[in-house]
This record gives sequence, structure tokens and C-alpha cells, in this order.
Amino acid sequence: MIENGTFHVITTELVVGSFALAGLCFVLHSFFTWRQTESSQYSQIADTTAHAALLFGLLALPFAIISGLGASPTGAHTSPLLANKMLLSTAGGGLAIGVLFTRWKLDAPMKNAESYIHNALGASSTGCMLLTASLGGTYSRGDSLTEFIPWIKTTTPLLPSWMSILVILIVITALLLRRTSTVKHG
Amino acid sequence: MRARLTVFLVLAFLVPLHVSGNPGGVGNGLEDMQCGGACHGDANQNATSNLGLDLQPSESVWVGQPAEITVKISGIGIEHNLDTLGIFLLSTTNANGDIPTSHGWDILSDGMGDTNNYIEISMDNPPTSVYSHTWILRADEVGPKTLYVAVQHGDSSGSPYFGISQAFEVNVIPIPENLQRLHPEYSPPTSRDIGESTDLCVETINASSVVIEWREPSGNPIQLPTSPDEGCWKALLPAAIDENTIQWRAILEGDGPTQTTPWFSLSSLEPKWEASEMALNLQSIAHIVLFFGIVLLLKIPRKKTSEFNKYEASSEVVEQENLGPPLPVEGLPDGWSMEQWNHYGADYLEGRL
Repeated sequence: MIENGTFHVITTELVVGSFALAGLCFVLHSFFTWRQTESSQYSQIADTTAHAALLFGLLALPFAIISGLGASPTGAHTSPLLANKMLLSTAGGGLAIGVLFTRWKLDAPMKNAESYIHNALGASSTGCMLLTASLGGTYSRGDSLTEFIPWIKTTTPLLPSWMSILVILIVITALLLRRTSTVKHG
Repeated sequence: MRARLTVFLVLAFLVPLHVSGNPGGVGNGLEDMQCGGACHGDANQNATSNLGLDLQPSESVWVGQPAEITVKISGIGIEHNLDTLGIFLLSTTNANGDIPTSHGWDILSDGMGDTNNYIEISMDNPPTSVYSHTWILRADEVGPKTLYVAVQHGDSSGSPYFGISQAFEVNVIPIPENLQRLHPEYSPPTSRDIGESTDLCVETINASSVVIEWREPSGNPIQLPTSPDEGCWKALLPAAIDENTIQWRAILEGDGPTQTTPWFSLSSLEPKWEASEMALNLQSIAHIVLFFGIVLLLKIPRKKTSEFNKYEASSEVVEQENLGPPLPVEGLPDGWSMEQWNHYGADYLEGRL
């Protein structure tokens, strides 16, 4: 039987590799959009690759999170570093789901400004994942890419449960109102 | 454009990556040999350490009973310029499945408030040229077993060193049937919070009385009375007022000769960080929803005015937008959809398909 730790390494490599490819392609897509020369072919390739890689990384993400929690003998809630990993990875996951969802629901080509924002959000999800994976390096190498955030290994900005529920409700309400608002205008 | 992109990619691959050891160490843990090749970034860069490595088990290692395993690191000199010395206690040298727990041992204490096989010692002021450290292990079966001791460290230039001992054979023997002993499932506490006293509950077999002794390392032992209660012998170890380690042992009387356990280390540590699991899980879900929502809310809405809708509702406009070349009199080619015709019809008419 494969151990959680080993499985976590494999799935993390999948997530990091896929998200890194997606992030690179998001940046390239913005670059091609900005250049506007010979961009249609490259731009399309970058856009498609970015979203396909993001989807693949997103599919591997739950396995990485679950195996990571399984590999920790006491759970993520007993270490600020593990808790921050979980929060960063879910933030990156949320961004990735949003980026994929908007791309899937796209009914017309994006304007340039929209495209830049979309790519920035996609690249941000990559950033979250790279920081998450880098935090894990603290265990094996003693350092990470997060040295510029000195508190991240010792403190977790944890909300009370009621506030998390409130955030969820506010966001869902905002999305519903936005949808209704768009329909009314139409 | 293509050339510039190629140059950029080639340069990106040619940028040398900095590979070195971990000057701050990797922390105590359950580690395979050389942390499975990850302690020093690239295990192939390790030079061979010239420190002397020795391992001494206690005189009799009985099955199911705690036994002291002492390792001795000798030859530590100024030339080593050690900041941190990492010491492994291993059962194989495969760099995979090397932890003694994989080969029938329980690690009851690593002497540093935990149950790891890899520990790091700060060597700011090496007191002597020989350093000793003791683990408490328990074997679960009779027979010969093998243990190794390994070290890793750096030097003033930052180069990584690794050394591993010869194999040391430890013979695990059966325990006499009526001898008083610790219960084979008993695990001594290894750590506690500062300011907390410790209620010991020592489970034994065939013991008629038990005395607990505790001491500061290398200090004089102080005896504590025990009382049998709920199937174990109870005693109260005093609280510590700062981070330190005390040692305790049990002296068991019974039908056989007096039995004395090894010294168990008990470290007093700052209280561990712990958050509400429910709050963390809820915030994780909130993060997914929040960042998903942010992406959707940042999307510029495509407002559909009534003017636009008027045209949008027109089937003519839609048809014109999707209009391909006129269909031939024989209709669509076999197997073609109208969408395909709109895209590729012109090529078909020109004979390119």
C-alpha cells in the first residue's frame, strides 16, 4: 500500500507542474495580446494550453490536499505552516475554478482589458500553488519561497467559524444579485 | 519574435540553480538515510565525513521492553566548524524504509521530547570531542537486529558531509516469564507544556511495588512514591518553569531481581499551536467560494440593452453572422454539418478539401 507521504509527493508534482505550465501560458497569452502581432496562432495555443493545464492541475489538487492531510499525523490544525498551506491551496483552487468557469462560459472573445485581468487571475492561482508547494519544502529543506512573509510559518490568519460562513453567504448573495442584475438589464 | 522567444527559453534553462546544503538544518523527524537524498539538496555532492561513529546497546535487550541505544560521535574538532550536527539512527541503508520502526522497533524516546530517528544537535560550543546521545527503543520480536548510526553536517565552506557507521548487531532476547517488567504496550510521555506537572501512570506486569526516580540531566535522582490505581502505578512529576528536559525511570520490585528501566527523557516545551479544525475547514471552503466569486465578479458584465436585444432576437442577424458560402445545389456534402460548412465550405468549393 502506497503511503500518504509518497502519494502526496506524486500528486504535488502533478499539481505544481500543471499550474506552472498554466501560469507560464497565461503570461505568454497576455504578452501575445499586448504585442498584437502574429498573435492569433500563438495566442490561441497559449490560451488553450493554459486552461487545459489548469484543469489538469485542478483535478489533481484534491488528491494532493487529502494525501497531504493524511501524511500529517496530527492534522493541519496543529501547525500554522500546514494550516497556511491549506488556506493558500484552497485560495489558488478557488481562483482556478473561477478562471476555468468564466472561460467555459465565454460567449464572445474577450476584450484586451478582460483578457489581461483573466490572465492575471490565472497566473495568481499559479502563484498560490507555487507558494503552497514551496511551503512544504520547509520540511525537507528548511527554507521556502515565502521568506518574504516572515509570519507564514508561525501564524495563521484564521477567521472564526461564523465569519467564514458569513463570507460564503455574502459571496453567494453577491453572485446571485449580479446574475439577477444582468438579466434585468437585458 | 520566434527567435527572441527561443533565446529567452534557452537562457531560462541555462540559468544555474543554486544547490547547497541546509545551513539551518531540516529539523528533527522520521527520516530515511540522507532524508532519502533530500537533506543536502543533491546527495551526490556529499563528501565523506571523518567523524567516528559508534553504537552501544544496553547490556540486555529484552523483547517488549525499553532498551537504551547510545550513539557516540567522536573526532569532533575545530576543523569541522560544526554549527549543526544531524544524527540518524537507522535500520537499513537503502535510503527508503530505513527508519527502525520499519524493522520491528518502536522508538519510545529520542531524548529530545519526541520519537524521531533523526535529530539535530546545535554545536555552537562543542563541549568535548565526543558527543553521546541516547534513544530508547523497544523490539517486538526475538532475534538479531541491525542498527546503523549516520551523521550529516557542513563545514566552514558550506560543503555537505555525510558519514555512516558499520552495521551493529543487536540481539533481542526473550524475557524470563515471571520477571516484573513494564507492560509491553506502555509508552512513556516524551513532552509536556511548560508549567504542567505530569501524572505518570506506569503500567507493569508482575510488579509488587514501583518507585519512580527523576533527575535533571546528570543531577542527583529524587525518589517519588507511587500508588497503584486503575491498573497502573501513579506518580506526579513536578512542573517545569522553562524549556528543559528532565529524566525519570521506574524501579520495579517483584519475585525476580530488582528491575530498573532506562532513563526516559521528558521535555517541557512551549504550548503547541492548535486551531479549531472546524474553523480551518470552514475557512478553506470560504476561500474557494470567495476567490471563485472574485473571478466572476471581476468579469466585466456584458450588458444587453433593449436596442441590442432587438437585433439579437432577429434570426436574420444570427444567420448572417454564421453565414458561410452558398450551399451547392446538391446540398451539404455527405457527413458535413452546417457549422462545418460555414467554416470550411469555401475551401471545399475551391477544391482544397
